[in-house]
Amino acid sequence: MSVPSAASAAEPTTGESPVRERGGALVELWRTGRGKIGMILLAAFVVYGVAGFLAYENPPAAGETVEDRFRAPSVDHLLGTDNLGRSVWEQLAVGAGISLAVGVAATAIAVLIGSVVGITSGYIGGRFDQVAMGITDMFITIPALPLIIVLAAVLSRGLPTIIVVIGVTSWAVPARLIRAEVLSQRERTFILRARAIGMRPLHIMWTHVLPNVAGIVLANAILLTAAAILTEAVLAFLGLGDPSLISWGKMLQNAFSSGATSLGYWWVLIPPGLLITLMVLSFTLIGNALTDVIDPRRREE
Amino acid sequence: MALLTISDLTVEYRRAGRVIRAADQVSFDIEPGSVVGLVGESGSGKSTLALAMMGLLPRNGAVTGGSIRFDGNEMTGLGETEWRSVRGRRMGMVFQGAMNSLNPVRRVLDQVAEPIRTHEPDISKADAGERARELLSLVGIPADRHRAYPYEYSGGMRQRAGIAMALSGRPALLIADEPVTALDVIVQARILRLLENLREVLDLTILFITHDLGVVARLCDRVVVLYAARAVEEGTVEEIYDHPKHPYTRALLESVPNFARGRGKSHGIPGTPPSLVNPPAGCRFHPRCPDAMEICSTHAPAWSRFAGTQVATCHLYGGDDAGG
Repeated sequence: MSVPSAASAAEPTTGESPVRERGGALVELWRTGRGKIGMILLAAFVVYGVAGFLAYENPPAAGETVEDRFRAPSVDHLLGTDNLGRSVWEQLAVGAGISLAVGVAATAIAVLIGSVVGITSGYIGGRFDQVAMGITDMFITIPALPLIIVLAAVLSRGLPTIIVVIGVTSWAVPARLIRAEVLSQRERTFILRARAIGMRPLHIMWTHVLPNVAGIVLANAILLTAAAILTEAVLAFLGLGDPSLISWGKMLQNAFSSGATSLGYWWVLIPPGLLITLMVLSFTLIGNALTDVIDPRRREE
Repeated sequence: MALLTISDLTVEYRRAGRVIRAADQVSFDIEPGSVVGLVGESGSGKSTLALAMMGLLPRNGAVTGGSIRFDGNEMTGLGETEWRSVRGRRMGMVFQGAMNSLNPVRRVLDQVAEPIRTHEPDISKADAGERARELLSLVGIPADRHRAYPYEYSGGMRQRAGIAMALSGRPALLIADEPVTALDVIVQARILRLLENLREVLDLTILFITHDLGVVARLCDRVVVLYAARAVEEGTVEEIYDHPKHPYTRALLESVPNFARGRGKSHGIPGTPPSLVNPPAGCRFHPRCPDAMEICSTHAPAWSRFAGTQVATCHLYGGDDAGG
């Protein structure tokens, strides 16, 4: 369109455009105390998990002699050994990787299903919304843990099964949350404008609705990750995890079944329990801090 | 031939079992190249008419009578797919909330390019971006601000971007729904000047919806006055401003402060606009009308024709049912 400028006077831009002092979400997250602690903890776990993945076998090799069993923490074995003479430190390191992998992968599945259901349901509305939310409510009311235990017991044992089972049982709450957010976004003028320029509903969802709910989805996903990590630990503790791999839940189970608890071998029991708590805490802190950072009430001009 | 012909258009909303008639047998034409002002108070049905013309009525609203002929084609009863090929390309719309009509998380340039890419799926991203840049320059946004986010724009810049978006599909008709209402008077004046210039440069036809008579006088050729979902008077800007016929139009003009004549005093219209759920019988303005007669509360007035092109619906003039 080569036409002369119709603007008789260009909009003056100096002093008129309110550029707000605002860093990225990460920077703001760091500024909150909770976010900072959570991020430091999580970074430590990631380093520990990656180091464990690179340096140690999973499961770590058993001890060579009977004397290697239940060794107390020493210079050789930072956190002692378990009933099979395996280093607790090494097991914790490989377990960190397992927990992170299961947490992130299961959450990815849950968020993907939840986003598709929540966004389509909220945007299309009407009868579709009623049916989709009916199914969602069903998934919310089904007691998740017993269902997960049954599924994990019935399906083939292995890490992928654990990930899928946790993923498909935890999408309902994010779906509800995303739908609620979409409902409020749908009424905004820029959605009407997008329709007024002839965009297709699917295209509008992708380019206009999704970017505006992404922050809330992310914050919720981080909280979901915490829950998924906890669920994985519970499943492993119940003996429903991958039998060939060591994870923190499995370590706790070993501690119980080998009698370490009654024998007072604290180094077998406390470290995995503590790390599960700390990892869940780190995700929870980050998730809650992020929820505050992206709060629409703080975003409003 | 008129570019747009609205005849006897009736739009109804259903809410909680009640029917609200937000447009009641409204008729008017828009000639190509002209600017028509649609004037009325809040709730008079202005925005409903705009949404009906774009096929964007909410789920609980529908055109229940009359017709919308645009460029020779009947628009009522079009399917969603057909509407999509009209929206943005044949008709563009500018909205009131300049801020809210921009997506806060997407760059302005990308949003202006959206109609181009929607209607010309084969165009490359770079070419669409180039055309969007030309449009943004055309509406007076400096090139170094094209890629900014909406929150980095001032109110005036946002509305300029909104206009660029509405124009990027090269529509024949631009529907501007209260485009300057949320802006301060200085910025208002600039945006109006922009629209005047765009009209000449792009040979635009504009339907300008507003409650501000000063804005209408400045920009429009013709005026349609709405009251409580009905058109009550229509004519050229000169006809309406110099010889308002309908008492409502007169009251509306008197409620605008005129600093040149009356030392800035304005006269409000007593009472409030009627409910559209249960509108008054007869002429809808009669409860507030200084010239009301007995017949006004029982019979709806027919159209009366005046010199030139002016028409009004009022019992003061007998009514020859000119049909508006």
